[in-house]
Amino acid sequence: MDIVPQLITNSLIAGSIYAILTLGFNLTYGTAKFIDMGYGVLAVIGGYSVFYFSKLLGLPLWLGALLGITISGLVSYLAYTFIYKPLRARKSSGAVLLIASLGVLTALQAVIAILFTSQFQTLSSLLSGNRIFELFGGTFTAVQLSIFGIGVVLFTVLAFLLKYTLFGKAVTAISDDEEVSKIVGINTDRIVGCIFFISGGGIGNIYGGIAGAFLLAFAENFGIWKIAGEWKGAITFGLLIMFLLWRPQGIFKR
Amino acid sequence: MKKTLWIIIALFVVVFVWLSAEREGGSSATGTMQIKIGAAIPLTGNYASIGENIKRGLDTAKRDIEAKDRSLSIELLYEDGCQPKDVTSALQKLIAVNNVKVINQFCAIGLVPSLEITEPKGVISVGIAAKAKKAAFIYYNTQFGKDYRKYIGERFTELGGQIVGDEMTPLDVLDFRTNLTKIKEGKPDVIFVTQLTGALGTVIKQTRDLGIQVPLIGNYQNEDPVVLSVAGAAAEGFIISSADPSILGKGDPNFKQEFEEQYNVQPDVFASNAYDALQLEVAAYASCKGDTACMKTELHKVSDYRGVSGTITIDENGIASKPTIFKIVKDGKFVQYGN
Repeated sequence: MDIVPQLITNSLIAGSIYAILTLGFNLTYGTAKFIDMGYGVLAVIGGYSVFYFSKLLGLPLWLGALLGITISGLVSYLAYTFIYKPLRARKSSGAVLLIASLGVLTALQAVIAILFTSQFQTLSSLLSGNRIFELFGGTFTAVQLSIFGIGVVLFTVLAFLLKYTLFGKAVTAISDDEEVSKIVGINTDRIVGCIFFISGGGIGNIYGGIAGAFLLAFAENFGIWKIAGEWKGAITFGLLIMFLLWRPQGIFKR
Repeated sequence: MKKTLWIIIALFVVVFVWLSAEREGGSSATGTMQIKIGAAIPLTGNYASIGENIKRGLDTAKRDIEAKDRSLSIELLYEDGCQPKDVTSALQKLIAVNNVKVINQFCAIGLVPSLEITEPKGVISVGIAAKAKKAAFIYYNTQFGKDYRKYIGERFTELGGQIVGDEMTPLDVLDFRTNLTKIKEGKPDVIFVTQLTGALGTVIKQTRDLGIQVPLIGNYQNEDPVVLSVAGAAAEGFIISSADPSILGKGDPNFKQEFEEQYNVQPDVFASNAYDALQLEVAAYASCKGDTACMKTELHKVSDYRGVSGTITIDENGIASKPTIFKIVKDGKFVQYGN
């Protein structure tokens, strides 16, 4: 049983990464109502921007991170303005938007590969002295702790934004019914555009998204405790199928 | 109308004959032997850095061979592939469209199933590819990974050792923490790791992050600057098997210098293997005039060939072997370990 604290730690680390990505994905899915396959590449653009500014140009890490967030947000906003917005305006189906987002994914991936090659790039030299901590028998590093911290902060800020601001109420309204939101005077294009910027930062249900992220991470890490590691993928997608069959409305009802 | 039809038919015949002549390769009217050699290697994804170095090694060998023997003209055709489905379509294109007879490959996971495509067509596939009582294994799910685990594991237990951890991982994951947590629980004296490039760097880093301090042992494919860059300080003490350096470069003393001038990096094991592979393939192709059955026999007869990657001997089953030493990472560099 000595292994359990470390498995919990591993699950929390993986869950935090999934949760950070889930927040943005959920937000765009909730408002724009399509599966944005290009979303993953935005996180990658953020990472490569930090690599470019902080590692290649030597700017401080905090500035590189700020530029990374801005650039990935901007790319996401441009993709919305020039690709998804016109398609949505002509009432294209979800399938068309999905294929368009697949195009965005492939094209941006190719651009990144041209600019930075397909080789592994690493920021580890910028993080010298990555301290190792131990808590209740689980070992984790300073970077892993910061991932967890960032996840908590992002979730708290987003939950506050959605619940207590006018912008949040507009987002909630659009995710419920975009047509009615338009009728009551919400500038839906502007709000959805902002969402794309933030998601390069849903409100399907952000609480459900976060719960799902951690459920997945715990299932993956505890699932291979007693069986071989190559079962990880089978466990993940088995869980997905079970949810689609028995709980299609998600973990929490909206 | 009839005349137009005849002109069209004649044009078709001319184009067909011309295309057939193109596809056949072989000797041209000028007496130059045209040799087409394919490569189905990973040019994108996790193992792209390896594919890139293989390409550089093959390109360098092509330049050297053509400079030495002007009667040979080599055309190298590259396709991107590592996973079986990608390698399969790459091979089908190289064989059916480009009509190549020799294909270099890297990923064993793709090479093994692809033999079903290449062997019936007579196409030759070339794969470029401590004292402890308790050992653990972490290896990727490929034929190479499984074979490595099997043979090292068998030898280890024959010598009285005990295997306390056995973790096979999918090819495309980078989170090995839970696999390593399980290994840590078995308290091994040594961990054998079969991984490549950045993924290997990640395994090494996550092993040390979890507080596991026992030696990690890799293989001859791991003398790779990407491993050191990803693992950082955690790479210190990482041990690998490697070709004997007293032999390296004997095949062509200019190779290292030429490669560095061209690409601004030192040739690694993959570039050197690819260089030697093309040298041997072209020699066999030229002496057999493209007959693949004859080439196969010729290649299986290679004995004590002094290549840039070491002294190569190929047995009757096509398995290449080289004399081996051990290296360890010290102060961020691979240096010779013991005798």
